[in-house]
Formats: sequence, structure tokens, C-alpha cells
Amino acid sequence: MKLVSASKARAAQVANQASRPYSEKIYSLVKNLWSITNPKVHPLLDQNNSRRRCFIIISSDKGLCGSLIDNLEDFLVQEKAFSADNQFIIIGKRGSQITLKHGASPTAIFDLGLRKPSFDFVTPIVRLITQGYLDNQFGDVTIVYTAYINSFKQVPEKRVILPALAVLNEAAGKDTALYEPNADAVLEGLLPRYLEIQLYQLLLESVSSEHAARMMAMDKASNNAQEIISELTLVFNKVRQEKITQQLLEITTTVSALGGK
Amino acid sequence: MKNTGIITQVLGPVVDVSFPKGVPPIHQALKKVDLILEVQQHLGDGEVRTIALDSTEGLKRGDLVEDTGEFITIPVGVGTLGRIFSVAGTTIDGQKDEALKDTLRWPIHRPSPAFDDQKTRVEIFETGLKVIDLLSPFIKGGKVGVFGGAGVGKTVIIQELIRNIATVHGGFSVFAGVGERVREGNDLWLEMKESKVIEKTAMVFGQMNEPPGARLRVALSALTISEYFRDQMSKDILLFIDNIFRFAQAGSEVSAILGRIPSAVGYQPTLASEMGELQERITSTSKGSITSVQAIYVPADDYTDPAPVTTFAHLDSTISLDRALSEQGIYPAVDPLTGTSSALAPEVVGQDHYQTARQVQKVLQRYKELQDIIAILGIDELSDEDKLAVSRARKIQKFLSQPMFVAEAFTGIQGKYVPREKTVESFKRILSGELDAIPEQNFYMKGSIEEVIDSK
Repeated sequence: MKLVSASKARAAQVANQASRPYSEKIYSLVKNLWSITNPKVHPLLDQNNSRRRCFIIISSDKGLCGSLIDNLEDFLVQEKAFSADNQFIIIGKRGSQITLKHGASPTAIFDLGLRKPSFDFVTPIVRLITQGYLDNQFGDVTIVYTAYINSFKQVPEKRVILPALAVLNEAAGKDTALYEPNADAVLEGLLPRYLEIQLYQLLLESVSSEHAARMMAMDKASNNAQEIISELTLVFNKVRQEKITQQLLEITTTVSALGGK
Repeated sequence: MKNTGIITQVLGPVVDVSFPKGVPPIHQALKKVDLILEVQQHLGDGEVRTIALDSTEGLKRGDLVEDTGEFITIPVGVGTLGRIFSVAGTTIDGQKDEALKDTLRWPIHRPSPAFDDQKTRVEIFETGLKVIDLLSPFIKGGKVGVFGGAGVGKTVIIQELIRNIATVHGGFSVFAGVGERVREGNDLWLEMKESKVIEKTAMVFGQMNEPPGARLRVALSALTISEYFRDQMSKDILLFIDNIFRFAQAGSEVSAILGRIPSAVGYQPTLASEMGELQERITSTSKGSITSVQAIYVPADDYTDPAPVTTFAHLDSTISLDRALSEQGIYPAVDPLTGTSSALAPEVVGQDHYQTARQVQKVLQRYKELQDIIAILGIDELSDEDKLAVSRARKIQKFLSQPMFVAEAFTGIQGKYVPREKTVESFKRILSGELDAIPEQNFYMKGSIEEVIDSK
């Protein structure tokens, strides 16, 4: 289990690294575009007037990954996410379990299944949230995921992706690029891509975290099991030795009691 | 003219004596000055094989031995209260013997009560110890076994029971110290003098330092004193035996020298019948009752050892002390899952108590099953129900500990006596989940549940 997780963790890490330049580029591009366009132009950038919230919870399908899921749950509880008003889009079976446990019902559940997370996986989710946001079903969209710090440490974090303004609301560098046909149109087309890559990036990060956590958990489990085995082996040897001694003793005392030599 | 014999062989505690003018019957006591020998076997040709009740140093072939014409006897009756006796009925507490001079003496070998004299009445005997009252309730007139390896607290529990029962119950008690530490006997004596319990207690000691003959017979001596109270005075008696295993052990020490072929694990082949002879006399009759509490040492913590196994069959309720619990500092270290009691039935203890006890065991059993998973994968991998069960089980485990009066010097906490209804109610509240929010450390070394809630 540890080796399987180790190789999966490595693969996930590679995928995570590989898509990072693209996602960073698209991020800075959107930021630049935003600084030169009117934020009111695009509804996804703007605050709408719904007070309900939407959470995308990136969890895992399987357990045996240490306290990963528990930490995620604690984080959500801390964030006071579980209110009946809120909507939940769940990735991974475990996520739906914790949501149901706290009495909230998920709007949509996406199982990760056996395949590697691909880009197609996130498109329907992005469509769902964009639609919901435009329809005023909820006022913001928060992704709750597990950030990969290193292979020993993974912590649950959140990121608000809608309104997109919330992320981009920081000083951008001066943009000197020319856009064709114009900045507004490019932004319009770019925003869904931007959301997709954001979600995809966090999904990859969560998957890396999951595998890393599982690798550590299974490593610990093998060590614990190994320890128990060695303890029990000692006990077994001791018991066997005692039994042999006892039988020898019984035979010799019997012989001497019978007067033999 | 007394019948005299001549010693023909001395083999440690076993002495052969030849009687030219007719052999004395089995179990008859022979005497050489102060040394008492008890006839065990007839060897033929006028020779008998005996066990010495004291050390045989200085004895030699050709010494003359006198047949007393009777069994070993021990003083019985109210005069014995407050006194300490050796196996043969001599006082060893250094006090004046005048009061005992005219006291009746009974032989220590007696038949067990007849079938139609025996009585079965099931009544609960409250001990004030939570773990016992809840999970292995004692029966008045029943036999209780306290199993445990070396140093897990058998003697402390026995002492606590003596203290609790004697102060609450107020009847006569008889204590038999069989092959245990002399110091413990002394501790007990001083403690009893302080609490005035001694005035209602007779004690008979044949401790570790004594030869096997004495340790083999001391339980019978104590039992004889109890039988007198039961049969002649119609009293309800408490008989404490610490430690019944030493009785079996003493038997095995002399068995081989007596020429018997050792049986399993080197025990005497007569182990079961010896034990039966003793245990069948500890019983309640229509006149009075003997409630006995017997400490049983389990050699090498092996519960399949023949000595504890033969004792098991005679007991109404058992509590076993667990080393793992005593290592966790949970005293009394009674294992809540292995204790049994024939009284733990709805008709005896009531539906409420029965249900609570079974629920407690269920939760603890679940915890035990999960322990392997926790050890390997960690507590995070458990389902939510299991996590809850584990947290409650840990609280129950902690709450089963209790400060004891006799252990006050060690713990520095005053002892607590918890009535049975309080115990049942307390555990019911833990099981109901209303105390889930209280940290488990608050449950440690507490009396009733109110103390836990107050400590919040």
C-alpha cells in the first residue's frame, strides 16, 4: 500500500507541477486583463446579490489516508460551512459522507473513480457553478481543498473563486500587451478557462496530498504492524520455551517419582 | 498408655513412623513435643507416612512419637474473635491465652454439610466497589474468586473488601492467611486493630515461611472456626482466604515426596479432590451462611494452569485482575470483560442493572476489538460510531477505577464507597452519551458520577 501510494503520489506531484506554469500564466493574464477592463462588464467578476454560499469540497474516494479527511471536516466545521442554505458540490465519496453527517445535502457529487483527474472532469463542475452564479443561486463559490506543503504535511485550505474579483483584487502589473479583438472579449472567453484551470490545479493538489498522506499513513501502519509482529514473536518464543521446559520437568519428575534412573 | 511410634525416615516435611502396636488412622495427629505430624498414608508393616506441620530440623530416626488419638484440633467459638492462630490452634499474637483455655476445640477434618442441609438463596452482597458491584456482583453465602498474577493487587482488594464489608455488614469474619507474605498479615492485623474490625474477626495464619504441611492445613483450620459459627451459632460468616493457590501449591510440594506420580504441570494427581474437599465445606446451610472471598494467584498469568482451573469450578462469581490495567494505573485492576457472576441476571439484580452491565461490556468489547486497528492504522481510520464507542469505552475504563480506603497511603486519595444503585445510574449516564463532552481524565479515580460532573 505504501509503495502504491508512493508511486501515485509521485505521478500526482508531476501532474501538479506540469500544469502549474499554465495556471500561473492564465492567472496573471486574467489579472492584467481585469486591470484594464471595467469589472462591471462581466457578471462573473462582479458581486451578485445572493447571500447563500456554494462550497466545492475536494475530498477523496477512499480512506486510509491518516487524518486528511478528519482535518478537512474540522476545517469545514470551523468555517461554519454546514448550513442548510448553502450548496455543496462534492468531489470524492468521503466528502459526501461528511456533508451528510452534518445534515447538509450535496447538490452534486462527483466521484473521482479510478482514473487520474483530467481536465474533462472539471468542465461540468465549472459549468454548474457559472450557471448557478449567473442565476443568483449563490453569492460566492469557495473551493475547500487540501494544500500540499510537503510529503509530511498537508493542510486544508479554502479559496474563493467566484466572484472572481475576490482573487484578483490586488495590484496588477502594468499590461503592455495588445488584445485582439479587444480586452473585454478576450476576458469573456478566458474567464471559464481561468475557473477551470483554478479548480483543476486545486484538484491535482488535493490528489497529491491524498496520496502523500496515504503514503505516510501506510508507512506508519507497516511500522506498527512490524512492531506488533516482533512483540508477538517474542511472546510466542517465550511461551514455546516455557512449554518445553514444563514438559521436560513433568517427564523427569515422573520418572524420579516412579523410582527410575 | 498412649500408643508410641518410632521415626524410621525423615524426608523434608514428610516423616515415616513405625507403630509396632497398631497404626493410627489417616489424618490422626501425632506429636513429638511441639511438633505435630499428620498421618497421610498407611505404608504397611505398621508404618505410616505423615506430613509435619512445622519444620523437621533436628528430627532423627529412632525418635519416639506419640499418637494423640485425635485429629488436629483448633479452638472455636467467640473466644477466637480478635485472636490470631497458627494451623494447629496455638495463638501467635502474643496475647494471654487464658480466655481460650476452656474453649471448645474442633477437629479440622470434618464432613461437608449434607445435601438437604444446604441452602440456596440468592441475595446480592454489596461491596461498594463499582467494578465488582456492576459486573460481577457477589452473592450472600456464595464463593468469590479473585484471580490475578503477582503484584496486581489481589491482597489490596481483599483488604478493601474486608474493610468495606466488615464496617457495613458487621458480622463475624474469619481470615485465613495461606502461604502469603507475613508482612501482609501483620499489615492486616494492625489495620483491623485500628478500625476495631478485629473484635469480630478470627485469623489463622500459615504463611510463606512455614513448611508445606502447615500451608496445606491452615485453610481447613480457618474453615473449622467458621463452621462452628455457622452450625452452632447460626451466624452469617465471611471467610477470606488469601491465597487458595498456595493450598494447591503446598499439596504439590509434598505430593511427590509422598510417592504420588505428578500430574499435569507437576501438580499432585489428587489436586481436584483436595480442592473439592475444602471447597465443599465452604457452603451455606439452613442454619447460617459462609460467604467466602478467595484470592487466587495465577502462575505466570496463565489462566489455564490446573490450580486456578480446579478452583474455577467451585466459584459463584469471579473477578480477575489484569496486569495491563494495573500498568495503566487503573485500580482496582479488575478486568471488566472476564469477570463472571451467576448473580448477573435480570431476576437477581434487576433489569436496569443487568442491561447497564451488558451495555458496558459491549462497549468495552468493541473497544478491545478495535484496539488492533487503532494500533496499526491509528484512530482516524475508525468510523464515527466506532470513534464514539472508543471514547465512551475509555471513559468507562477510567471510571471503573476507584480510590480505595486501604490504599489511601499509596494514592493519597480518600477511599470511596459507592452504593450499587449509584453505580448503575452512573454508568447508565455515561452510556446515554450525556457526558460525552467531559474529558476522560476527569473520570479517573472518582466515586460516583456526581464527582465527575463537579470536577468539570
